[in-house]
Amino acid sequence: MAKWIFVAALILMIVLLAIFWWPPVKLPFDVKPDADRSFSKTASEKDTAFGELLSKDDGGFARALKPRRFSFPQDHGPHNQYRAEWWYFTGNLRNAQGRRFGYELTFFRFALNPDAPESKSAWRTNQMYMAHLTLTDVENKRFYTDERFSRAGNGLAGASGLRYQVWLYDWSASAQGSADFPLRLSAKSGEFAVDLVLETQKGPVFQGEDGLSRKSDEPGNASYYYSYTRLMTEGNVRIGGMAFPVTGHSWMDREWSTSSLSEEQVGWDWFALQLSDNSELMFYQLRRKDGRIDSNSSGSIVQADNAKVPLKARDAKVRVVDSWTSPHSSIRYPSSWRLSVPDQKLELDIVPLINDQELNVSYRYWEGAVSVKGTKNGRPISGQGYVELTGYQ
Amino acid sequence: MRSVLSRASRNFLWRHPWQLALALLGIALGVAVVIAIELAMESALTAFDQTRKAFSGTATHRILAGNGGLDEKLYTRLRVEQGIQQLSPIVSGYVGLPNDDRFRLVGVDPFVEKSFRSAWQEENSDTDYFARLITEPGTALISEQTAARLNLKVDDEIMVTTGNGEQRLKIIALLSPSHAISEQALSGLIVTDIATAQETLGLFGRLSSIDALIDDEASETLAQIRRVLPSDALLLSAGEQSEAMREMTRAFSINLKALGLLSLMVGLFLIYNTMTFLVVQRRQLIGSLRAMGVTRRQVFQLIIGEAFWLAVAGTTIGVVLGMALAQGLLHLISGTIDAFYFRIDAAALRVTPVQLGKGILLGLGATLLAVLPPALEATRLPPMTVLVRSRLESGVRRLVRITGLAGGLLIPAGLALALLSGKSVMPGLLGIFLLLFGFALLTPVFTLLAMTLIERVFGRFLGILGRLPARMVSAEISRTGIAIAALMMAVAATIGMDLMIGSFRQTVQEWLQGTLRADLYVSLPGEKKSIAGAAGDRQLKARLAAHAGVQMLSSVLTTHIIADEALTKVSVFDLNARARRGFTFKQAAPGGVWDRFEREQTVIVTEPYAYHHDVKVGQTIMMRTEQGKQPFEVLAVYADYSDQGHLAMSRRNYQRYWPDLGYSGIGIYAKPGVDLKQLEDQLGQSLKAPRSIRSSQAIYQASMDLFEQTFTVTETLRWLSAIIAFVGVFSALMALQFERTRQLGVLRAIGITPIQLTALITGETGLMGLAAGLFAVPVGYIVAYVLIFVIYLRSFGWTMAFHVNVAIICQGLALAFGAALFAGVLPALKMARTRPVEALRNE
Repeated sequence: MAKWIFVAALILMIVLLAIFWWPPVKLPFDVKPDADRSFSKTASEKDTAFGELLSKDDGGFARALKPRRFSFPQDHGPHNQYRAEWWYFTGNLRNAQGRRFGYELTFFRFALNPDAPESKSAWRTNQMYMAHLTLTDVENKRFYTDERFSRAGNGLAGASGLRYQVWLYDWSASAQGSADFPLRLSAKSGEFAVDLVLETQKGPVFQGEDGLSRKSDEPGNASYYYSYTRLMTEGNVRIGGMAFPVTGHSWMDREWSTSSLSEEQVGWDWFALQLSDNSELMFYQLRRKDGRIDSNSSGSIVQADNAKVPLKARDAKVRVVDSWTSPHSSIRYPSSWRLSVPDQKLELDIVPLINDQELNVSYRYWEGAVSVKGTKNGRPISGQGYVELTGYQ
Repeated sequence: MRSVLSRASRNFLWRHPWQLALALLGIALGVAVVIAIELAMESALTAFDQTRKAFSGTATHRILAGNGGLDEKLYTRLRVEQGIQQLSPIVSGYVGLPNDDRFRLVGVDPFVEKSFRSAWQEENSDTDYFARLITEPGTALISEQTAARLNLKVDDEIMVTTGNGEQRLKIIALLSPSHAISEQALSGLIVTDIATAQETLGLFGRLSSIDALIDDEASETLAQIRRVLPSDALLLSAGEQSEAMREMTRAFSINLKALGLLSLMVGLFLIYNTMTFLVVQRRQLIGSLRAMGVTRRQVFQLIIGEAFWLAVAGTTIGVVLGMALAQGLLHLISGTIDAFYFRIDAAALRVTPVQLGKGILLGLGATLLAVLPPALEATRLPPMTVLVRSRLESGVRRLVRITGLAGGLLIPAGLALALLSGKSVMPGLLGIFLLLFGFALLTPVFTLLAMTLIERVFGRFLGILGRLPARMVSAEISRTGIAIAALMMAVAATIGMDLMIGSFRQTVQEWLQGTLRADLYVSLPGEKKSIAGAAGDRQLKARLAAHAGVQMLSSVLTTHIIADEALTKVSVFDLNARARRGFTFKQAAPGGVWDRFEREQTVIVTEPYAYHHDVKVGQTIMMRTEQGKQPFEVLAVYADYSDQGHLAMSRRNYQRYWPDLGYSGIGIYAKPGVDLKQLEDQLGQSLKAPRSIRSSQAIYQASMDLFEQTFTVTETLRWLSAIIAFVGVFSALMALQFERTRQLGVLRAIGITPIQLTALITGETGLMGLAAGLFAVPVGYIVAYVLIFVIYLRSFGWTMAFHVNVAIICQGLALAFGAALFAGVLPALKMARTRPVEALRNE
C-alpha cells in the first residue's frame, strides 16, 4: 500500500512536470513561410498591386509637343520630367541546333509626381522603375515571366545619361565599353535568365515626325520615340539548370511621354517585324472604344539601307485571321494577322510562335514572338518579330 | 444497482456541501494558477512575435548591426550586385507622442516583394497610398484602432518627439489588421516610407536592419550574403532571433513556472486530502455496500466516477478563474519584461487551446491520480475491516515510517540535484521540488515526534486535557499529517521566497548606494542611433561642464555592439576617479584595472555576462568593427544587478572603432559647498524633454521602485499559493472536526464543558499549525539557500549575500499558527453549541 502511494506520487509528479514543460505545439503555418511561387504551365511570378501607381493625373509634367533634337548618349538616359518612359528589348534567338527562343526585357520608368523632392535621404525620390522579363521556349511551348519594382533611390534602379545604362536591382542593360553599343542585357529570375550582348547593325530610326510620335489628335498626346530595329544578338538563355548559347536579332524601342492615349482609345496592337530582305517594319494600330481603328495609327518601314518610309494609318491594313482565349485571364486575343502595305506590294502573314505569351503581371498584356511569311513585290519573303497587344478585356 | 450507487454518491455529496465546495475550490485554484501562468507567458511572447511579424512579415532572416546601424549601400550591394531577391530594408526607432505614448516608427520600402506579407502589405488594405508614402515627406500609416484611440482621422497630423527633435507626421491612410496580425501588434506601430523614417529619426545613410526571406533550400543565397556582409554586421535566422528572445525571458518564465508548480503541489495535497475525506467519511457506507454484495470493481468505479465529475466541475471553474487571473498576470508580466528585458508594445490575452489543454489535463489527471490511493484502499479491504476505523490508523502508522524514510532519501537527492547540476536552471528547480516533497513526506514523522514531546512537557502540568490535543493530532495522523505537510510546504515556500527577496533587495540597495557616486544625473533617453543626434549631446555636456557649480563630469553611452557573434549591450564609460570608486570588482586582473581600461584594448564585464558567457578575467572577446574583428581583453568582472549582462569599455576604446552616438547619461559632480537643489533647478531649466536631471537619491528611489515592481509577480503568486495552502488546511481541519462529531459528543457526554471543548479543538489545530510552522523554518531556509545560490545565480548570474531576517521567520510562524487556529474556530464553535445527544445521534 505504502509503496503504491509512493510510486503513484512519483509518477504523478513526473507526469505533471512533463505536462508543465511541454513545449507549445508548433502548427504547420508557424513553421514555414510560403514564398509565392505560382508556376503554372505558363510560368508567371507576379507581384500585384503596384498597377494602381501607374494611372495618375498629368498636371505638372513635361509633354511631347513638337519634334526635338536627339543627342546620345544623353537621350538613352532618363527624362524624369515626363511621366513614363521605357527601354524595350525584344528578340528572336536560336541555338546551334535551331531551337527557337523569344525574349523580352523592358525597363519602365514612372514619375509618381512631377517634382523631385529635396531630402538628405538617398531613398527619397519621385521616380519608380518597373521591369518585365519574359522568355518563350518554343520547343516546350513554355512562356516564362517575371517582373520587378523599385524606386530609383539609393542606387536600386535608374538610368544614366552619361553612358547607356538602365537597371533595376540586378537586371540591367548597359554599355560594354565607352560607346553605347555593344550593349549587354542581363536579367535572371528564379527559373530562367537571359545574358545577351547586342550590337547595332543599323543606326537609330526616329519614328513618327522626326521622333515625335502622335498617339491622338489632342496636342501633347504624343511620345518621343526612336528604335534600333536590327541588333545582332549573341549570348545565353537559361531555363532551369540548362543554359543555351544563342544568336539572333533584337529590336530596341525607346519611348517617353506624359500622356499618350486619349479617352476614346482602349489599346493598341503593335508589330515590330524583321524581314529576310534586311528591312524592318513597325506598325501600331490604335483601337478605339467604338471598335474602329484610330486615324493616328502609324508606323514605318526601315529599308536595308536604313532609309525610313513612314506609314500612315491608311497605308497599312491589318486583318485578324484567328484568335486565342487565354486560359489564365479568359481574355480573347487576336492570334494571327494578315498585314498588307499595298504601296510597298507587301503581304505578310503573322503567326505567334506559341499562343500563350500573355504576361499575367500587375499590368496584363500579350507580348510574343511571331514568325512572318509573305510576299514582297510578288517574291516570297519571311521574317520574325514581336507583337504587343494591350487593352484587351 | 448502478443508479442506486450513483444516487448514494450524489446524495452524500449534496448532504456535505462544504466538502463539495472545498474540493471544487482546491481543484479550481490549482488549475487556475497553472493556466494563468501559461496563458500570460504565452501571450506576452506572442505579442512580441506578432509585433515582429507586423513589419517583418514572413521574413526568415535578418541582417543587423550594432546601434550605429547598417550602411544603406549594403542593401544596394545585395540587391543590385548580388541579385539577391526578397530583401526588405528597415529603418526603425522609437518616437514619443505628446500624450507620452511611445510608438515604434518603422520605415519600410513599399516596393519589396509581396511575399513578405507584412501588415502594411495586406491584400485588403488600399495600396493607393504607396505613391504618396514614397514621394511626400512626413507621411505615415497607423492602424484603424490606434487612430480611434488617439482620436485621429486620415489627413490629421501628429507631433512626434525623436532623438532628432520634434517632427510632424501626417496620417495618409489607416491599416486594418488581418487574421495574421493582431490589432495589438499594429497598435504600437507607425509605418512610413524608409526615406521618411530616415528624415524623422535623423538616420541618414543608415538602415536598422534588412529582413530576408530565404527558402530553406537556398543555402547558397545565405553563403552569398555572408560573403558580402561587412564585418560589423550579423545575419540571424528568425529561429535564432526568437531563441535569443526566449533566452532573455527564460529565466523569468522558469521562475514563474516554479511558483506555479508550487501552487499546484499544494493544490494536489489539497485534492488528495479532500478526495481521501470523501472516501473515508463513507467507510461505513462502503462497508455496508460491500457486505450487501456490491463488488470491489463497482465501488472503485463509483469513487473514480465521483472524482471524475468533481474534476470536470473543478477544472471548468479553474479554467474560467485562470483566464481571469491570466489577464491580471499578463499586465504584471508585460510590465516586468518591459522594464527588464525588451519592450512589448502591446499585449492582449490570447487563449490558446494548447495552454488550456495543459491546464485541463492537469486538473483531470491530478484529481484522478490523487483519488487512486483512497479508492484502492476502500476497495481492497474486506467488508468487515472497512467498517473498523482503527484498522486504517494502524495501517497509517506503518505508512508514516515508510514515507518518512522516502522523504529522508528524497531530501539529499534533491539537494544533490540542485547543487551538482552545473549551470542549468531546470534541474535546480527539480531539486527544490524533490526537497520540498521530501520534507513534506517527513512531516508526519516530525509531527509525531513533536506531539510526543509536547505531550510529555505539557501533560505534567495540564493533566488529561493538556495531553489530549497533542494525542488527538498523533492519533489521527493520516488526516492531520497531510494537512500539516501542506501547510508546512506553503509556509516554507513563503519563508524561502521572502528570505530570497529580502537578501536580493539588500544586495541591490548596497550596490546602488555604492554605484551612484555623482550628485546629479542627467538622463538623455531614447535610442542612441544617429550620429546627427550626438552633436546635441556633446553640446549639452560642454554646457554642463561650463557651469560654475560643476566640478567634474562622468558619462555613459548605452549601445549595442556585436561581441562574440551576438548583439551585446555595451556601456561606454567616460569616468573620473570618484565614479571609478563606485565599481565593485568580483574578479580583477592583477596590477590594477583602470589604467589598462583606458589605455589598452580592454573591457570589463558585468557578473551576469561573465556567468552566462563563461568569461573569465584574462580572456578575450572578439568584437565586430568596420575594421574587421578586434580582440578585447577582459580586465575585470564587476557587480551589476541592472540586467542580464553587458560589457563596459572606455570611451577612448569605443571611439577608435565605432561612431560617436552621444551620451545616455551624464553624471554631475558638484563643487564642494554648492547647493545641490539649486544646481539641479538651474541645470534642469536648460534641459528639454525627454532629457531630465535627477539627484542620485531620486535615481536610487526610482531603481528601488523598479525592483519592487519586478517582484510584484512573484509576490502575487506567493500569496496565491499561500491562499491555496490555507484553503487546504482549512478544509482538512474542518472535515476532520466534523468527522469527529460523535467522538466529541462522547467528550461532552462525559462532562467536558463547551469552553473546554473549544479550547481542545483550537488547541489541536493550533498545535498542528505550530508544528507546520516550526518545521517550515529550517525548510524555508534551505529553500532560500537553493533559490539564491542555485536558481537565481543560474537564471540571472547574480550573486548576492544571504541576509537573515528574523521578522520573516516570525511572520511565517504566525501565518501557520494563525491559519490553523482560525480553521479550528468554526468547528469548535459549532461543536460547543451542539447538544451532546444530537452529536451522538449524528452517526
